[in-house]
Amino acid sequence: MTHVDDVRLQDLASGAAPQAGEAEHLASCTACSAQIDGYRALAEVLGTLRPAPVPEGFARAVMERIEVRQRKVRRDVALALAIPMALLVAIGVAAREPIARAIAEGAAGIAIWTAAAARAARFAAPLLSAFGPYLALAALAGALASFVILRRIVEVLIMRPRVKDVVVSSLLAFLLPAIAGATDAAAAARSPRLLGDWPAEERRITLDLEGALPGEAVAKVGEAAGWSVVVAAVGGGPVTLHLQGVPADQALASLLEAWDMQAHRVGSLVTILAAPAPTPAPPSSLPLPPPAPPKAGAVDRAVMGSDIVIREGETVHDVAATGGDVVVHGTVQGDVAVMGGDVRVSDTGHVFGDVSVAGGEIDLEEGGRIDGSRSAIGSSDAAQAMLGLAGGRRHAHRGGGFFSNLFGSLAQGAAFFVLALLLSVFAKDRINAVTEEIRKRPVESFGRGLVGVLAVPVLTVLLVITVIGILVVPFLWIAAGLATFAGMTSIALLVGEHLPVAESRKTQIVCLAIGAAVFTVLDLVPFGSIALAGAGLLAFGAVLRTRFARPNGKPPVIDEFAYRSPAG
Amino acid sequence: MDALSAFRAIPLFAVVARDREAEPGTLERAARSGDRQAFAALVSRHQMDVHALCARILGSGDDARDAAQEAFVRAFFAIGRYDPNLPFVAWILRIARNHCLDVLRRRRDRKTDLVEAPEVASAEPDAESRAVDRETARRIEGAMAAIDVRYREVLTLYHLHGRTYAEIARIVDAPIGTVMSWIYRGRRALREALR
Repeated sequence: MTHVDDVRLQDLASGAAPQAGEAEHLASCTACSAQIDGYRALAEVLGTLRPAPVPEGFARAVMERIEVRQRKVRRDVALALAIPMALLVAIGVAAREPIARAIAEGAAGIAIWTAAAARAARFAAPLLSAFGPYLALAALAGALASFVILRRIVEVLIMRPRVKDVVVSSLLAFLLPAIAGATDAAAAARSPRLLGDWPAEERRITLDLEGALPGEAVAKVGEAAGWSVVVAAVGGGPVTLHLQGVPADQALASLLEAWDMQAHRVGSLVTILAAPAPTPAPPSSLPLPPPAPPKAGAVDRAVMGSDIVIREGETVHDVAATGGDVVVHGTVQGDVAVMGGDVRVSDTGHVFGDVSVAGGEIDLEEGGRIDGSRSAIGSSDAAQAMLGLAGGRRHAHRGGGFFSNLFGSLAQGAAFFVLALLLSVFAKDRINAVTEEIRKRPVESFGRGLVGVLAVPVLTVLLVITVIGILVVPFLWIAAGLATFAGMTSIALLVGEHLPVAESRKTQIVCLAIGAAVFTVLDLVPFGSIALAGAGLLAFGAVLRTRFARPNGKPPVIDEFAYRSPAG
Repeated sequence: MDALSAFRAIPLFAVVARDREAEPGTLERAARSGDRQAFAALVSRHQMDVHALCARILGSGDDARDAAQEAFVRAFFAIGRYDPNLPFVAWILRIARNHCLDVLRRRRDRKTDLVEAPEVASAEPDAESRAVDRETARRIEGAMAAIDVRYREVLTLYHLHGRTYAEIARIVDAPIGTVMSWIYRGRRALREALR
């Protein structure tokens, strides 16, 4: 009889029952039997081999790689879109043709939306990776809308468009937010041990400590920085500190680095916690996940186009949704931000931070809690949300240095310019009325603004007392914000009109650009915010005095079609 | 410490993570919806399998570690394409395996690629037979490193990871019959390499 083939021998070695004839052959054939024994021995030995040990800190290294990759993706997206846009603008400028100019304007629109998306993506960690194509589509849709709006601006304001105006407006609108979007991603890379809301500039401290215990050292740093410090866990040996005018957050970060700790900040409260521990090599082939880190490691949740449900007992950090609802049954330690959806906080839900909704509503059930502020604006106020995204919140520049602040302010200035331009086009008469009021009665306007600013909180309290009036409160604050913005547009126009810059070609757009630039500078220089606050009071008061910018039928203050002589 | 601070200092997640373990597929679904903590838990759960496969294909050392980490990173960015109704381990092993083959391709000589045998660790606790087992294991590891990478990976998945033919077929993206054929040929090649 012929020998059993090799495949069959392996089956028999694996435990298959011999067929008729095979048993007799195997009993008499030592070669085949030896083969089966050999395969059995091989299988046994293979079964005793253990996998190579997993390197220490493997899981942590994976998550760090993901973080680095995400930052790179965001930066690449911003740059990949910025470069072609810059080329388009350059072509538009060079061609001096209406169609080329239109392309340049569209490019500016794309850039604004790109920068906004980049900033949104920084907040929404896995958003770009999962929804990159959708974001690109959103950018294109935004660009189309911007294109139409910008064409309208050109038609209304510039009539005989000059290339230089388009270049100025395009570059302002495009370059600065794009750069800010890119640098913002870089700023986010700093101080991974400092979680939560850290201001751009932290108090500088001088401190000398010899052989202080970790808890004591952290407490001293916190004391010098003016923080309230909760030390939930801290380990490590005594430390010696000699700090001379060092930003307090940097000092804390270096201490935390030495001890492998993290700090989470809410307001002035800083909590020191253990960093998520490196994952040791698991003892079995199906290791359990490590205990989740305490709240400092709480994850962000972000989706586009679907709902987010935070289950009861679940705890997350920030939550962001676009085109979907957020339902909170559990705990949100940071903020909730939703565009195009509602937020519902159930009776077991708890949000420690702010809840912001654009194009939706906030539904807080009895027993649910929102510790921070609540703001819900309708979809008609999407421009305000856009302002927030494109301009960025200052405190978002955590750990950012001078350049991060600079670009943040520039982006805000650019966003202000674009929105003010829209306002001055679509509500020209109202803006003119406010401008005239500020020009003629600045002191009265300032006084009315002061009274108005004091009246808004009082009115809020009164409305809340009436219970039914609570519904009006958000509209009151939105109205106050919009009124101030409208007034600031007028002030920007006036500043641009009176500054001796570009006297020979002072159209409305140029005046606005000058005003926005001045505001940007004020935002950057020390005590500039005081001047801006004063301007805000003046703006708010003027709008109040004109009964919410009701046009008075007087001719426009600035003739946008004619050049203004140096003498005015 | 006020009540709020005390509450915030409580490591709630340990409880949450345990609760999630109770329901199969919960972690996978959470990771798919963008939950980084859930994904980190999946990394911890499957790191051993993924690293073992990478070490078997590429040899132990930095390459295997890098490939395994890269596999998880790729999985994170492709999590939207993962079907939560299928085993996550098969999906991640497939990603790891494909990446390892890419690495091998970059080494240009996939057929004759000789990898450094992974560190030998015998499961046998008996002190007297430890030396013998180590020697045997070392020989097996050497032979495994010498055979074709296709056979190496299916033998690893079948004998070391205990995966079924169907699971292996899904991981290596080949028909079950082909997988069985590779396993048979792999065993034969391994025995020949051991002679």
